[in-house]
Amino acid sequence: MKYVNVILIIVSVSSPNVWSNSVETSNSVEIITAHVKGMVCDFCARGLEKVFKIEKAVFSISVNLDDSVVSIRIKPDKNLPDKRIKELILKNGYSVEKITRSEAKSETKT
Amino acid sequence: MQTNNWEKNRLHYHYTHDVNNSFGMVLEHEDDADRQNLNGQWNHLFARSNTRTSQANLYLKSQLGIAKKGERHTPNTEVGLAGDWETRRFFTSYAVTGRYANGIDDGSFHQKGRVGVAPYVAGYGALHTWLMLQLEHHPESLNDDEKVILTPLVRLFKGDFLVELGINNNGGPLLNWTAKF
Repeated sequence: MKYVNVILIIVSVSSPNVWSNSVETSNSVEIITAHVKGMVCDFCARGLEKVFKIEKAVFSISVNLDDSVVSIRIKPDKNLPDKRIKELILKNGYSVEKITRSEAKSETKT
Repeated sequence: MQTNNWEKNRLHYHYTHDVNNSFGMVLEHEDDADRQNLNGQWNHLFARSNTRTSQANLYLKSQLGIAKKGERHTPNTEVGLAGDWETRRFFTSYAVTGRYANGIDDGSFHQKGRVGVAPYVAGYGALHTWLMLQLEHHPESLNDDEKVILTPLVRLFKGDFLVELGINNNGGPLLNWTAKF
């Protein structure tokens, strides 16, 4: 009986469900891609980064001069309308060719 | 922004109000002429063309302030037109400026043009390098050597900081820098 108890304890302790409290969640994150005309100078495009970063809905922004695009990652449950995006880009002296939206899966493990 | 060349040392603080208008203060010292200028400046962008691969701009630049030469102080005005066109590989610019300070100068104008090429096309955030050639024309200059000035220069920028280094055909140095806040 003593041996049976020891075996049961070992089996229960080694079970992954005892030690692991991991929770997997899967959220979708909206990525907005703005195709911008006139964005040929890195030094001048700095302003875009600054104005988008102070928008409450924006999680991050990246500028790609090769493809003339600005990619904006939106915070979960937030929205940044096309009208506002155009306003910010025009305010920096550029023209907007088109805006596309896509969703990316964001997996969080704790 | 600070520019230092054969003609003057210039300290310039500028605030961009909107895409079409910026306002600034300019403090200049002209060593040879023993002259100082303190001006307010308004730059107005009145035309811009954006394409996927280029940008072109036309500006009206105006200054109003005080010029000092020796013990004499007088109102100082400057008006200029400037234009530029650039791609990620090529750059050109041209500016013509007229100025007048009653009793210190009876009106003068100068023009300046630049052409530049980027030896490599750098991505966003990388170090950008431009090789440029600047040509200045100062027709009223009393010194024949200073009527036409040719300055090869290197422009480097990364992030919010830009610096230009050059030396002109008379051996005069050029050092300009701009920081954005």
